[in-house]
Amino acid sequence: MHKISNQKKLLVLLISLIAVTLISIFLGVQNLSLGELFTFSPKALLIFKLRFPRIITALVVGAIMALSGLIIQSVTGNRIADTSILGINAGAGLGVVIYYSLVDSGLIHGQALLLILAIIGACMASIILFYLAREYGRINNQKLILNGIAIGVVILAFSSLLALRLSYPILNMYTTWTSGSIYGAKYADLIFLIPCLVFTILYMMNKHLIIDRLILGDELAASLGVEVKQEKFKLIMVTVLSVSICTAFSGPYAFIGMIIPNIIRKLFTNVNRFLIPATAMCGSIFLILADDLSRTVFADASVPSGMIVICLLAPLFFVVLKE
Amino acid sequence: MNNKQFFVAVLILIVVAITSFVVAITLGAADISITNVIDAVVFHKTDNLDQSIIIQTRLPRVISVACSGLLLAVSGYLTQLVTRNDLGDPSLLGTNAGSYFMVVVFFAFFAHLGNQYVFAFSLFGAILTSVFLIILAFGKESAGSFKIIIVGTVINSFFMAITNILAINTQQLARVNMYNAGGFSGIDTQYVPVLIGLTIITALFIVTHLRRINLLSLDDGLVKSLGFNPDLNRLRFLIMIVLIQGISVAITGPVFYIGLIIPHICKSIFKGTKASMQVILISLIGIIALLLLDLGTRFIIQGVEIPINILLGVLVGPLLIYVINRKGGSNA
Repeated sequence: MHKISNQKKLLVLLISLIAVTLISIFLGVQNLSLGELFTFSPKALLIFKLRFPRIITALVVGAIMALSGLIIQSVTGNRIADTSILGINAGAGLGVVIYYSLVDSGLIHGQALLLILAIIGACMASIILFYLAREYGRINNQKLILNGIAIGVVILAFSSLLALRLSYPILNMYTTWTSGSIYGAKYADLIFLIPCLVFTILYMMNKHLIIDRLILGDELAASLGVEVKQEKFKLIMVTVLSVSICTAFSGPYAFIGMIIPNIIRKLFTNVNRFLIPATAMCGSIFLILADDLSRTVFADASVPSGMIVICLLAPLFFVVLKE
Repeated sequence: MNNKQFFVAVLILIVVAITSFVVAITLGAADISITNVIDAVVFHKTDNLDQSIIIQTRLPRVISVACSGLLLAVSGYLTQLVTRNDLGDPSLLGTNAGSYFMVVVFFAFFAHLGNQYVFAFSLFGAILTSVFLIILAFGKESAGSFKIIIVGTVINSFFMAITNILAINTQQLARVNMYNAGGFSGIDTQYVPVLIGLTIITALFIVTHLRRINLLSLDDGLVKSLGFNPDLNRLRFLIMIVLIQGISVAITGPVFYIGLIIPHICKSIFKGTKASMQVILISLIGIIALLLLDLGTRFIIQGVEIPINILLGVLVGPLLIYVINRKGGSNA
């Protein structure tokens, strides 16, 4: 059989990403015709103010979540790991609740503080996690996952405890956030999100050979000249940072990181030079489509895209597990 | 632990359970004197407001808390024995979420049938998830805790997501929210007899199955040589677990982690005790623990009632981490 080269597959993904992005501009409660778009009618301006940042946010968040899953899976050698099952997203979430509590008490507010708190939360969660999962100087895979789930439970409980004390409008903001929603995306958020994505992709692409070697196992990677501990640490740090920034803005999106990389591994050869861009693009396409669904089909019910993502991807998890 | 020690322990636990029961009835937002409590509970007097508060709100609540404590602790312990897994617990395995999902489906689409059908739906949810879990996690070989827990976690978040979507469109949102918090503050008093009945059935089941409970912890070959069918034996307990889960979730909503942590506490206090003794100790400790926790939800933060699941997450989570990480402990 004729085999399609990886480059061609990447090209197809890129074209579909662009197509999905463009089509999404026209999807929503307010229909927009091509003519209106180019005449800069008030409606078009409104859409550029509200819908466009939302699409771009979905693109960035989808890509980062999917990439984070790919990296965590490569580093831990576990195909069903991702930041949400490891409780790292929950850690960022705790930071977000603390931020909302501070806003509620009228002390301070500001995007930067939100980001800092989310990052601190995610870092704390991952430090505790990797500390607990260590066994004889290396990471025990099963312990990592079990501890991740347990840490997620604890952090979630503490977050809910804090959320109990929030007053009404802010509590509402917080519950919308927890279900995973890019409903209120603003251009101001993109100032943080886009550099975050660009940096993550550049960093990962720069390290793609090292990631390839890390998959082979610690000993083999070390014999191939990789500083295993250092490289793993750096990769996890970058992942935790980018995920916590995304989570701060968009809420915890579960399963994208767990499932998308596994789909991509089926389609592409197992070389990170291709896997990384493909995973990022596939994650973007997926989240943009999920957000389109929440904006169109489920618009009346205002179902957050995070829940649509879970409903679509959770069944796929069992397919992955069966293998 | 010999028989004498066992009876002393049971006696002490019964005394503690009764004490906490009385304390739980007496303490509350309204300041009620002990004589009023005795008048109301023992002599069924409803002469004044205090006595009717006791009869109408506090007594049903405390009774249902005590019943749930026993049911949850026992079903958790039996799950751990049947799955041979230290982390076996309905809330971690997702059967809780399955019943809860069907309860919300009922309120969303079938509420006009009449409230009693909620039990059928909840039971169906518990059965569905259990079957699903057995197919997925138990292949030919018995599955390690690792796989079961992962599958359970995913089932949990899957059902919770759908449940939340349904809840958005449900007119009975208030009802669903009450369940979400998982707790006893809004419990419907007409279901308390059902809960009491289930508790009695469970207690009878345990007392008549003490020998079979011991068999659960034995090797399959050994069980066969004793003249029992190990699979059928497990099936009996599985049916009981599903029954307890299905009915109690329909009444109280999902209450997390009690079934996980009470058996662990009990096993570490009474090391090396037979399963048949253990299960009785566990049910008593379950009653005491849930009574005290429910009191805690009312008193830890002044003026706010903490949903019991949040309190449980805060208290039990660290213990869960300990269970996972203790040396040579869980068979992960």
